[in-house]
Amino acid sequence: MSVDLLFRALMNAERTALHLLIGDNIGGNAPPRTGTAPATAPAVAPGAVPGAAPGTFETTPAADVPPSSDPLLRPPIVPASHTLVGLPVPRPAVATGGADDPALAAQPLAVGQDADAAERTADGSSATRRAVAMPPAISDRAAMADSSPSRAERPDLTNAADRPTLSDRATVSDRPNVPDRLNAPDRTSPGQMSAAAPPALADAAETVLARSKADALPLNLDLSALTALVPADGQTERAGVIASFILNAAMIPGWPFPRPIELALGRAMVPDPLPVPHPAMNDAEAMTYLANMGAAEKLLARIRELLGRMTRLPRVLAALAVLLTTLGLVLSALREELEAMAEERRELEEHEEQGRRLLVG
Amino acid sequence: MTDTLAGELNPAAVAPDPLGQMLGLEAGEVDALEAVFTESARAMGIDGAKIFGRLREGQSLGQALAMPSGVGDLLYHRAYRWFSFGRIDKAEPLFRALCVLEGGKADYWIGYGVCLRLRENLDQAETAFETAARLRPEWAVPPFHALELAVHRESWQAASEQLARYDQRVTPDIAPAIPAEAERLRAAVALRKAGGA
Repeated sequence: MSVDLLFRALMNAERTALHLLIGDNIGGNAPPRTGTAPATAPAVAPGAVPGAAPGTFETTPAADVPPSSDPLLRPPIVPASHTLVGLPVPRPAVATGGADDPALAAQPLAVGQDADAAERTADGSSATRRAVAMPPAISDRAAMADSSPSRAERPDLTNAADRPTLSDRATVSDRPNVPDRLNAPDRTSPGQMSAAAPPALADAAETVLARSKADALPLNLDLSALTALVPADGQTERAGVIASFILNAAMIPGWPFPRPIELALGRAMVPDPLPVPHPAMNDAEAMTYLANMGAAEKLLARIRELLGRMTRLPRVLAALAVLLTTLGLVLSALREELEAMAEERRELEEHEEQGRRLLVG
Repeated sequence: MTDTLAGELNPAAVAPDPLGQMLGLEAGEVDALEAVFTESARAMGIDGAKIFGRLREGQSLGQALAMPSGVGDLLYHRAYRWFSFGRIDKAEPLFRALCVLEGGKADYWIGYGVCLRLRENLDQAETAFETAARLRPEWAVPPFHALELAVHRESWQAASEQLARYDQRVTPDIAPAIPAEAERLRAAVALRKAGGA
């Protein structure tokens, strides 16, 4: 799927999920528009995190709710530094753009979508199905896709009645204390990509570069220029662009991770010579890395053909690895999110179907 | 970009563009990189030439990918929701993607940093908080998280510095949870100082 289609599919998936979840409850079937979204009034009071502790280290219950003696009913104790307190609560995603674009809205549904789903959302008869209460497990997922356009229709977590259910809390309370979730495998990591790559490709890369090993230089991509681009006031996007490259470069095996102070001091991100604990990749290893990212043997040969006369081949290969790693990580994240949204929609539809059968008998 | 350009251009003949500066490459090397990137991206089903051209101009990857308006907000919404439901493993890749696509927003870097902190990727978390601080120097939230991280690492000198930064920037309208925990961290730093004195 092209990047453009991926973006459109994401927006369409969100719009469809919104219709399935809230549909007529928001006063019509038309997709929410930017104009309907309130400019103020976030869904959650500043300082609170939806579904999580309100933000204080010692969680403070609302004034109108007596503290419960049941430990299971108490909100989990989560330090504010382990929450997103202080960040703006996201606005309704669909109403903020994308779906407002007529050209975007006219796009056919892509991965995980089907035309029937879109038609059902515009069908008034589906209101009954949507009105069926969702079980907590589904509700969690539904909340993930909740993008209702105004505060009035959104659950106000500052009110006790709208606070997360016990099942919600159980989910939230897992957050800082469940290592298996925190350490869930990151399928976008280079290591994972490496593990998934056909060994033949890696072998091919070694073969392709075997003849150039003699002049292989240590991979010492000089990123000192990155810091020079950071203006003193730190107010431009360039600093973020640079940092994103640096963090993604650090995911390449063997790449020495920069300390933040190096950024601030304007020192080279990768010192020359490299410190002993950080042996650099040579060009063969860089090519192997590219092969593990999915580069075909033909492409590797082409790369060697194009770059064969470069005197600083490892540096160029490293730059290529940085760019492709960054691009690959972003695309992987987008694809996985699109899949998650499609799965949420499928589960919701299944639940609605079950509810319909219960009503019909 | 033709094959003959790769390696035949005098690297010093042309001043490097922003991308070349970022990657430490001379102009001829960037041309060669463009050729291989374009071919590699094509293998991924992407028009690499267009993307690379925009990257050469110093645009972010989000701009280079011509990300439609609204996608950033959507991804932030999703990341925030995943985080709120305890799915750090799902939130982190989205915050990371946001940092790449729209790297100039300090909010995204804080979100990414908190995820990294919770996953004990402390060096990367530190970099993320530092980046947020540079992007929005007047904001008290980055030094607050950096303070907590420094205390967690028992880097007391750094903790004192971050506490001072936080004190200089904190405003009355900050989320109440932050000053509350900052006081706890302040006590930890003070106790350490008293113990070490």
